[in-house]
Amino acid sequence: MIADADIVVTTVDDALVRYDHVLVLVGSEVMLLSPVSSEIVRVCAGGMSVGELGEHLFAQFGPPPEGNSVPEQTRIMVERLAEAGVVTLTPSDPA
Amino acid sequence: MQWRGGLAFRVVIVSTRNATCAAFAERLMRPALADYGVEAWAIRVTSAGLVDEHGARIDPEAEDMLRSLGGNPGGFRSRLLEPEVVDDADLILTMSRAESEAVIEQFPRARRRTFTLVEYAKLTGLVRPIAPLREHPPMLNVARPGVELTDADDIVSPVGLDYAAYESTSSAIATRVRELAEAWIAMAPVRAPRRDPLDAARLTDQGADAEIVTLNAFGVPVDVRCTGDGGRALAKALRAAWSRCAREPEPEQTAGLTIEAIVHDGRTKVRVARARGAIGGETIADVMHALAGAVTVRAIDVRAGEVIMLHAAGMALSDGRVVAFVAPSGTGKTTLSRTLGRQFGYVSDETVVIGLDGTVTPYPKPLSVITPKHHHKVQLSPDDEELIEAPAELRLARIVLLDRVAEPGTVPTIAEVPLLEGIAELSAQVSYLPRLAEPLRSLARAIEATGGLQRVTYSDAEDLVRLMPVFVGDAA
Repeated sequence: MIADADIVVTTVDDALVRYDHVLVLVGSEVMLLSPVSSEIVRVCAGGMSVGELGEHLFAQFGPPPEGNSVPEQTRIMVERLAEAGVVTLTPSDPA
Repeated sequence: MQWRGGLAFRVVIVSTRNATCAAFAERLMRPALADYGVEAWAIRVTSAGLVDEHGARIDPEAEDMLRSLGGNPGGFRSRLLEPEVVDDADLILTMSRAESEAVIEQFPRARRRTFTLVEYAKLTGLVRPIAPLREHPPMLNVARPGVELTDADDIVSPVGLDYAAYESTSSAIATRVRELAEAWIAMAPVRAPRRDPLDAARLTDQGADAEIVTLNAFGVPVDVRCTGDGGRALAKALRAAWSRCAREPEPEQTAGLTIEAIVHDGRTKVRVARARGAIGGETIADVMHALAGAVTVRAIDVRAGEVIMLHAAGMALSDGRVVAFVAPSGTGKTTLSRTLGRQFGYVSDETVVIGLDGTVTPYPKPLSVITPKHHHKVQLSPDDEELIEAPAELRLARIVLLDRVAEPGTVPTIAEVPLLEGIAELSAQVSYLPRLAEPLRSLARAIEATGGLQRVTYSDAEDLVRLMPVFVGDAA
């Protein structure tokens, strides 16, 4: 389960930015990201908590589609990107 | 240049229960590759299961079958297909479409690398890629629509069935495993072998006459030591077919390598030669075919990280400007080369090598042509095909994505391709992209310096002749 305080960090091997899209290289795989995923990759380069990321995405893109809440949609996006190796998630420090 | 050697090709074979089909295929593929002289590190074959069997031994029936076919079940313990196993695999081979779907559902990231055994063998036979083995899965993934799979192509687990079922399954697996091993050997990675006369002498048949043919594979000198009963005839055929690559590169230019090629009219001798890593065959055509792959792939290994290597045909105008036509293997590059090469300078039918400064190194290798008479590609000399020689100084002028359609008479159209979409598509056709410094940016610079990517949709390569000036910006 992804927590709001978990830290998301971009872990791509190379990236190419053009307008609102980012093309990333992860291992030997090249992926063209959607504008929202591209924004996640961009702002999480130095690490950002899931909660802060959700607020940032809401400010940039407005409410998520399909009736999901901002935290739910953020977790879905982060999970997909982590599965693809584009970001890693570091659990928050319980202390 | 510093050659780090080829990268291992990591294959994981998966079945529902590891201890049955996957174990059998794994333990059969290992000796099949060893028989061809492929070292265990070069193609690393392991297996895993979709259900956890807690380190079970191979099934007794599978073990019997395996022993009868020369496989060794010793030390096998089943394991579960876990994320780290998937992440560490270049290729995941399953027995059935249902198992492929199960792998992809659990590990969506593995989609482009997951095939059934029969599917991968069929695609390999159809596409016949000439590229480092690690690059085959994404190349073959693109070609998937060209292969239709039916229920008969799924390998059924024989567990719980009779002996005949085990025999049938074993035979199906063994056939495909041998097909793949044979297709892979010439392109298996090798550890940086130096172009060393002493080393080369050690490789040669003791007492046999050896004739050396030196080829220039885009700046990499490759000594092919032709030996065996048909060694001299092989050397002669090699010099004729590779006539445009016979020039010696500058001595200080690059590390080189040596390949032993052997023609013997006897299976045992060929087998012995292959077991020590030689490219061996009973006919000159067999060896010439395997050499085309070995020379190209090993030279690609040598130049990894230095240059951009596209799976592309290259054509040059008389002033040295080159158009690289990129397409997956088996989709028209050779036909295009035979057609355009009679009007423009022939640069390559397979690999266009671009320096980071935009210069192009030619690779006018023999044209690899599929004929109905032969079970593999025939190597035709560009001289015999009367292809025009490219100018000495070459520079990239455009990268064009080829989209050949089946409808005859299609009027060719050219479209600009947005940079990021274009690179995403192009990346499956670039060798060793991750080894370049700033891989995506290097590729983007090469593309942007030539006015961006284009896609041409066409049916007849002849139509592209008049479009060459358009590709390089000389005509609207």
